[in-house]
Amino acid sequence: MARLALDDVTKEYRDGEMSVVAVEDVSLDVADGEFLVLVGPSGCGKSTTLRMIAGLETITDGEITLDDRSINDVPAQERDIAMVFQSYALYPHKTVRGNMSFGLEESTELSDSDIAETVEETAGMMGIEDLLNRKPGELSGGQQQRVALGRAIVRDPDLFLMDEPLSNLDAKLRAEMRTELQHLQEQLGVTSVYVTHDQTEAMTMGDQIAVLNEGTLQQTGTPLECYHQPNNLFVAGFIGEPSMNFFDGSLEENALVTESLAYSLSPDLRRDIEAGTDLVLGIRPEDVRIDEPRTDGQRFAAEVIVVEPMGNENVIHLRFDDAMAGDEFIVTTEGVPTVSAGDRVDVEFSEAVVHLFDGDSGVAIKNRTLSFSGTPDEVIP
Amino acid sequence: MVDNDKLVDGIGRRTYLGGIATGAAAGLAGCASGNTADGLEVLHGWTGGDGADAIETLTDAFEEEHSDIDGTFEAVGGDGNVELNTSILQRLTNENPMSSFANWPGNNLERYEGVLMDLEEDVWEAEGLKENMQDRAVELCTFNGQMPAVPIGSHRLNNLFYNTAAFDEAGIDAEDLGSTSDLLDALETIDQDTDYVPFAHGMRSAFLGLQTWVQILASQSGVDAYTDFIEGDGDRDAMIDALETLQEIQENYITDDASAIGYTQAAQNLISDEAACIHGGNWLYGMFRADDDFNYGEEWDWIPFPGTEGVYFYHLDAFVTPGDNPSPEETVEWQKFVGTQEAQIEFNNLKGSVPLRTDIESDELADFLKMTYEDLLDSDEYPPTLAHGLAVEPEQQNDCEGAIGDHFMDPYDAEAAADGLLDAVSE
Amino acid sequence: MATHDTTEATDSTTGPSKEVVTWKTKLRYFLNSDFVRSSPYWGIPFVLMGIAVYGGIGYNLAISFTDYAGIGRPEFSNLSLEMYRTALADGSFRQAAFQNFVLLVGFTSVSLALGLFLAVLLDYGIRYKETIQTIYLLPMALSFVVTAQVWLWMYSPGNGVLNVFVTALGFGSIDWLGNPRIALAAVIFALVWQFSGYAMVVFLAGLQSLPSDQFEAAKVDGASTAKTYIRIIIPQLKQASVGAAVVLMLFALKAFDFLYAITGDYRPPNGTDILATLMVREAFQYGQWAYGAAIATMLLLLSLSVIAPYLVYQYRQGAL
Repeated sequence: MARLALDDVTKEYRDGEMSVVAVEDVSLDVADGEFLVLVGPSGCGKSTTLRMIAGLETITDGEITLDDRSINDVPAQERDIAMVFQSYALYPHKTVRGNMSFGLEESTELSDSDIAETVEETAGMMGIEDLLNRKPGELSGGQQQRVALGRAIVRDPDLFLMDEPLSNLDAKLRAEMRTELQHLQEQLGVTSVYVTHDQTEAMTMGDQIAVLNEGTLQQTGTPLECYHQPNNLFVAGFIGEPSMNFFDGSLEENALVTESLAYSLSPDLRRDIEAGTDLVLGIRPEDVRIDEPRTDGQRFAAEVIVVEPMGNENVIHLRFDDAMAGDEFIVTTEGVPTVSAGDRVDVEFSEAVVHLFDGDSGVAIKNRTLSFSGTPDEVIP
Repeated sequence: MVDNDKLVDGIGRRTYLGGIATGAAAGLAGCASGNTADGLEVLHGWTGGDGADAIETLTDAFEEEHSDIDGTFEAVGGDGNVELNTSILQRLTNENPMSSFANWPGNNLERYEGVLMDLEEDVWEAEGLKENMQDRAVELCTFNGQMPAVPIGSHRLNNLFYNTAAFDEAGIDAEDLGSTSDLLDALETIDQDTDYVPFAHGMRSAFLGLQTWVQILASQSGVDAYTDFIEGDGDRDAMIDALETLQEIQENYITDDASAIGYTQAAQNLISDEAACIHGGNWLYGMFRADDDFNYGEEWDWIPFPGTEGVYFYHLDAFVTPGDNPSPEETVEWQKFVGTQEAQIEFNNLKGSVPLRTDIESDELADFLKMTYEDLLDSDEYPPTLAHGLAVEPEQQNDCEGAIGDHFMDPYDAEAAADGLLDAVSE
Repeated sequence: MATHDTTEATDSTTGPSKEVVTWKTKLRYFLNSDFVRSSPYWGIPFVLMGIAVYGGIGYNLAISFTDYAGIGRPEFSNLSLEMYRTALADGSFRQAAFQNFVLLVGFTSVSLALGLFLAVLLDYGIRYKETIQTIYLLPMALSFVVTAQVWLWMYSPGNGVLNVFVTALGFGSIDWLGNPRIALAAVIFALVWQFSGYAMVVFLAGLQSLPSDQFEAAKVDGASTAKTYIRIIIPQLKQASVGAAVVLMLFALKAFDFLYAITGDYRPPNGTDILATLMVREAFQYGQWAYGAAIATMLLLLSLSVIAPYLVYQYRQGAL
């Protein structure tokens, strides 16, 4: 139970003349008992950050504090942190019981009987009591994962660190474990930092998520905040599946002009943007209306290319008339698909749901208007 | 399913099999033929140094004289004939004998019992060697009613070679050393008053210690004590006395690395002016002679081992003939040649041993050899060497070496060694 | 195969001649089986091995039951275990056996320990790792004879390298090979020098096949580096160490070359006589063929007893 804080933490790898900055000036705050998910594409520095917290990497600059105590120079063995590795890193020559007892044996002064008791308890909690005498090599992937988790839990540490622990599981199991992990964490109330590249996991599991890209922190916030109010293009495109549609254009006379459409901007939207600025229009697939009778927003003609019925929703790929081949955008609808490939339809982009980003820097200029008292569907101008 | 008749890299299966079978047959044929050489095959143990030179001269001379005989002369290396004996043993056991081989006669021949060729008529009597060879040599070449060997050269064993500079510096006159206790005193003096190592000694092999002990025994208790011993009736106390003297020398007056070196390196210590004296067979003379700066009468000199005046401790090299000889006539020619004056002079001058024929002009021999030869013809007693096969049977000799090796090579247990020696010869 | 099937089908319907046909067909099957058809290929080495190795072992065993010695032929009329009885009663045999055992155990355990230590150091990450590895492994490339000569010089009392150090420290020079109490230790040390590189390579390969996240997991679990090695890493090297141990033990049993090269004759320095040297001495110097054969057989049994547990272990593991 502890508060974790990262203060401008930087990691630079030097090799003579060459230097690679893996993590740059990342600052995070994780409250006691909170579940933070570090999310980002491969190579964004999330694992490195996690390893710095664990003590497996040295910190080039900045400070990491646990309960206001700096742990920069505290060796990994003494940080009272438990970690679940992507490959589980179980000790193959030890039984499950041995694996789970090892941490307690090495980092506490508990008696053997106390350790045995704790292990039994935790094993019960994880549902692996029957496996205690087996060796990791005899277990399935899912079972191994539980053991890895159990090994971390049994230590009752100040902090849980998890490095993509679900990535080696099949889809179904992954979904199951996602929920179970969440329950566990709530139950135990241990401050946790969870690293993943899967934004679904991030959205569903985290109390807070931190999006990283190329070593820098893009945004921290609740999942919904990042979803609806992304700080920049990257976050907007990364969070959400299928991802947000982007249209590159520039501001000309109160309208955002792209290759295939000209979207008028109301004064509210237009604000103080200079004429000629490069802009990117963003709109989420579920926010686009097809052939709606109400005409609140601007409508554009488009052709349906592919309809992918997923059962619970339909993913429709469309293309504007003047767009290049392959320049498609996606709309999702619910229910039975009402259009099919080859149809010509009208798509509506309502201003309330449109995001505007600066074409050069990617910074969000305008995000969709959102009220937290209602659902996003209700558009409140 | 694979078609097994498919070509394997271009060769049909049957062709491949045929090739193997032919190869195997050829190989077997080669093995079976063995040694069908019609010529003379002689094995000896002189691989290097003076021995190699001597045997080369001998064989060259033989081939010149008997150009019709196709002779192969093979050297088999190793200290003390060990490897040579092994080779001979293997050949004879495999019933693949050579024509003749160099070895020690006397009791050493016991190991070849039953497989020797008798040369009495064809060589000894035909050439009149029985009269022309030194008596002891004739005796030693007689075995089990046969005479299967012809001697080529004899080394003397009771020698003390000394570095004249060392003795001078210590103020010792070699002529005064008439007994072992004199020798010990002298060694002590050298140790105290000079920087020389008093006694050069190799201890790597057990036989080196054994042969020195024999000298001490004969010196302290007389040759009879030695003869009694080899006949199985040794005087334990005398033996222990001699052992203890040897122990004293080995503990106090030798180099630190003695246990790791053989006699060649020990002699080298004398030549390089580091040691004062050495005991060994007079094959050491061959080594001294090889060094131009180390000369007889100048840098080094010789006395009989203190206490063995008038005694010639016999060592003998001979050529022995196996029975069932692959080339009987050629062998006889060779053996006759070995016994001629010419052969004996040429071989021994280079080898550093002395000839066994009594009718040789001693002037034909080098100085040192001349002196030794004259002693050969004119001594009072001729005890046979123990460490070189003449005194006792091979197994007993091995056991004697074992006794020394087990109990008398640091740590020293004189009692156990004496018992071991007595047991060895009493079998 | 298909053709045979139809043949059998048609043949078996012809009635009375069924029995003969079936037998012939079976023979044909056999002659056409992979086993027989490949026999020219494995058959030749098999026959050669059979004669040279197993035949030789068998003949040796037969001779050990006779009293064959010296020149002549063995007599197989009177077979007995006399040679074995003599051997077991003989003090020098028991001594050689004991010294052989000490060499076996000492050499193997020290080589394994040293090899493991070196492997752990190298695995941990030192600079010039490959160079160091090569240096450690080089002695293995030397023949026993060369090693023997080198160590003979090193051990030389007086001015051998070791004694130069010893005397520089103020002690008297030590006669390493001449002193029966320490000669065997000196020999073991020289052999360890030659072979610990092998153990190191085996262990290093084992260490490097271990995934590095186990180190990290142990670290986070609170184990110090030493504890990590002792409790996590080294127990996983069991497989490698068993394999290395077997090979090392077989080398130890064959240390004859080294001992022979030290003295140049069949009698190794006092205190270092082992079964192999005793056997060669008895057989080839003394001509005691039957006795030597008996010793050889016992040496074979000793080797088998070393390797048998390993084979059983492998069998149980399912690898055999």
